Amino acid sequence: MGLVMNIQRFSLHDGPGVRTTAFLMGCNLRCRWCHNPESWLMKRRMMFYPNKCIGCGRCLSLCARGAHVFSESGHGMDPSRCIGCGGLDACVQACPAEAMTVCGKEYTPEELVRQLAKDRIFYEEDGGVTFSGGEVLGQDTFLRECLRLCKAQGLHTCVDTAACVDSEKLLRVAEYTDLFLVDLKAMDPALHEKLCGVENSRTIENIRLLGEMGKPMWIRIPLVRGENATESELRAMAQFLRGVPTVERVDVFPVLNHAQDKYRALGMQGELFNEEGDNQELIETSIRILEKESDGVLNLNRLM
Amino acid sequence: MNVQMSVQEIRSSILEDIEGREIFIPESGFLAGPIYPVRAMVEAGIWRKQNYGWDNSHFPLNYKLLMQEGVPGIIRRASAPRDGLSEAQQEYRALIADSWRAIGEYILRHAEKAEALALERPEDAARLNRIALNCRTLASRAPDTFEQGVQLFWFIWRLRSTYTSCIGRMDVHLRELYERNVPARISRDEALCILCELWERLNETYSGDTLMNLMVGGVDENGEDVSCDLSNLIMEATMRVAKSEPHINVRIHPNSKPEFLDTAVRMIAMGQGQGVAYYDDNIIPALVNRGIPLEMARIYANDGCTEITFDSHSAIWFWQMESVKSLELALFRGKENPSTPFRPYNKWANFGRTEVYKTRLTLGHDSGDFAKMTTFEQVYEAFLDQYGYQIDRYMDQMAEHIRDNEETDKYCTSPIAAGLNEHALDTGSDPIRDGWEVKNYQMLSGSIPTLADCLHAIREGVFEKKLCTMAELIHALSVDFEGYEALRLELKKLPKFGNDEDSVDLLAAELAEFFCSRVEAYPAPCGIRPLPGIYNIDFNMFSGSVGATPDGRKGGDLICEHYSPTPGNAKNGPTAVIQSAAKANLKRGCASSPLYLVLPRGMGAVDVDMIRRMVMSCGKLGLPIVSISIYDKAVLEDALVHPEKHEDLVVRVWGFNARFIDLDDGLKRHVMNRML
Ligand code: SF4
Ligand code: SF4
Repeated sequence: MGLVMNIQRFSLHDGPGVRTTAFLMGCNLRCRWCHNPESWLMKRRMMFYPNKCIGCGRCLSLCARGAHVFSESGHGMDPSRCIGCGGLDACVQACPAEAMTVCGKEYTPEELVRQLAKDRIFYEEDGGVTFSGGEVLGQDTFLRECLRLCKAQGLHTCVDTAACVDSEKLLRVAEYTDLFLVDLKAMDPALHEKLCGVENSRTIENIRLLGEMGKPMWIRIPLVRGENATESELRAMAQFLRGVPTVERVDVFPVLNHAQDKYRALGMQGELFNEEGDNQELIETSIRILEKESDGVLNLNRLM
Repeated sequence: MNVQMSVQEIRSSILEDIEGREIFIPESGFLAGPIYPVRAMVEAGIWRKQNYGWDNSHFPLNYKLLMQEGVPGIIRRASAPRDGLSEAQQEYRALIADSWRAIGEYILRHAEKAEALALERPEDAARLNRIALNCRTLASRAPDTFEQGVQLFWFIWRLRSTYTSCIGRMDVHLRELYERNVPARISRDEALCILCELWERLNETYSGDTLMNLMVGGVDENGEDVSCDLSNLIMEATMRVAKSEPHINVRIHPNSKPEFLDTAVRMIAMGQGQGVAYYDDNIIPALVNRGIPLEMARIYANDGCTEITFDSHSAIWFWQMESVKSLELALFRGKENPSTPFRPYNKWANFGRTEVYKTRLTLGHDSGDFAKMTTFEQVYEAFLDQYGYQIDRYMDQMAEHIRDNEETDKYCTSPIAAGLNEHALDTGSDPIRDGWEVKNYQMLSGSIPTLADCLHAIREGVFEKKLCTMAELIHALSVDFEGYEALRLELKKLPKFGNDEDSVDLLAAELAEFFCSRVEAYPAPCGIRPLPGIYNIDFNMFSGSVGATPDGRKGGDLICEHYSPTPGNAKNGPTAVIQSAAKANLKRGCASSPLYLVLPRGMGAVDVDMIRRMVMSCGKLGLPIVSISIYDKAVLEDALVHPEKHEDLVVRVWGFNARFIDLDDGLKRHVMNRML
């Protein structure tokens, strides 16, 4: 069984062509701009959207843990009190307004792949399925089985990873992976730790390893103004990546603050990035540095 | 125009009208002939009188015949001696001949005026003499050049109707002239400029629900691909002018040429809803199944909207059934929901007359007391009883009209339309009865996905989840869910069509099948077999006059169009919508069963290659007609607040494209909410 956060059909930014992407739960990084904070833990998560609540009171009377609180300021929820009774479903099911959702659903590999193959008529030769996260390699056994089933059906497979894991995990899935999408967030280990909570030596090592194995890769660089989008960082990235022969393309995009609602729904506070300044210019400046430092070897691509 | 007139009445009216028409030579360009802008008439509520007899303007005329014969050829043919004709036939032929003579003289007056102007303005004489030469030629024989062909089309198209009218397969009609001229006499670029001038002229005439539908590509009566360089040029002109008119439709089949498909996909990717795709493989066999001869099925074109006509060989009459309202009448035992809001609507535009739509269904048919029903099977059966009853009453109306057309001379076809019908030209028979090879009557019912959402909500909400009883549900509907908000939201939460969920998709498919078989089972009036279609253009009107529904929709809120999801209900993206639709046998609704997809800009969908895949996959999945538009939601929102900044924002509505800012408020909401 695997724990899946979401399945997104007609996904156009997760590899070539038309794809369906499965987002798996669990992540060993804590990138401060993360767009999927609900995926961090390897367990189902309750999300609460107070603005949708119509105050019917059903959840209040159902919850024996006192997780739902009504006060003058409205309906609040204390996720730390929630014990996920009835598989997190009791109050969620009862809520007419969809003010609560549960993130995380269990799938067998067969069932997940059946869902992912539904749109195969749109994939043609280059489209297919992508596994993303969270950190997909946190569920490497499940992932490997899903990939194997996909390949048995002739589906093109992508694995989207930060690759900040032991190499064995990567090697376990490489056999059935057509294309790796690898996030590169910083070269300086201290900066990486500051931004993502862990240092990056395994990411660097794994990108190198995939290169040596001849595995095609698309590298994705999220730009954070004043943090990793500096001349020295970008130059270091370019120098590193130009030496990896199987990097087919490098996608560059600015970090945006789209997930604030989700942070709130999880009872968390999201940080804001790239608020000041022109993001288009941030991309263009970064591309110029990457281009120059790689002598035009890298196939650079703007995602905005 | 649907007027009942006798031949004598038409004669005096048309001859006088054409004689009195303004002669118009443009200040630039080459297209002579006045525009008569429609919007000014609509806004003022004053129609220019043009009583030429019957012609609803929804079907293409035989413009190919026009190009071959020219005006003098039509006159010659209508006046050639023929034995054995009745007095009425002789009289009708004479009307056709005299009307076309008046047209010839009208064209000649343009030549004379252009010549006079050329003498007055030597600096502009070359252009004016060119106009004069075109008009003189057209008054005396068939067109020699592509430009003359376009000029002739403009004269006749504009004379045909006070409003505007359907165009049809222009690449087929003008191909011969185009290939004779390009590149031998004029360059491809010059031909493109000629088309662009016509496009501008069409846009000045009107914009929006104009019936100006034009179809390119497809096959001929022998099944051979007809697409040619002119087909591509028509699409290029559309991309260059980038306005709402004309509305381009594209026929796709396995042998469509790669450059034709490439151009079509580029045009679709513009996002304005241009390039509605019609799949020959999913349409032609279905038409043949319904009794249309293969050669006729192969030359289909769409009408002024999205319905099928048989280019140059049929007119069209269609009726639109209200499916969601049928459920309302069932639940309320033959009456309307007492809280129905009757929201005033305008058919499509935010100018002109506003009205309240009154249902055309038959009130009073009681199909049982739903409040007492204890199983979904009882509910479903009782609903089908009401729906079937209502379909039959609509079919009765159609049958009566067919009999009027076939057995009486209540309607006399306009001699302009009849002049481009070979049978009428030769025999003097009115084409309504005896000229169009296909008697094209259509019974349409769209909004079936909303209906399926409602019935599924009863099945799962009432009988499986027991959210309420049938009696409570009906009461909640009768008060527009006042005091029942929690129930309403619960009902809204249940699976809805458009998300690739079998429970509701298969129910929709079954309802579509029920509708088509009921239409097919109705005894053929005068031996004519009407075509069923899963289509409605009046969803905006209908939705304002349907009370609250079991899917959690409040009275007056949007219902869906055609076989598309209810706006706002599709949450899994376009491929899920397509898969939902593909579960129904939409081919059986061969009159027209389109799926409309609206993609947001910025999801990468503007990528031409993505559009190509989507277009081709829809065909492989068996869908007959698919429209794809791409908008930027933020731009639409801004246009609500600052319409003056978005004069050129063109969106797809139903069988037409229109400027977003011109739309009725209900339709604006509809367009925005159907985005995936
Ligand atoms: S899932 Fe159970 S414990 Fe958690 S908030 Fe809901 S009712 Fe309370
Ligand atoms: S059940 Fe939902 S709508 Fe009702 S009070 Fe709780 S969160 Fe609000």
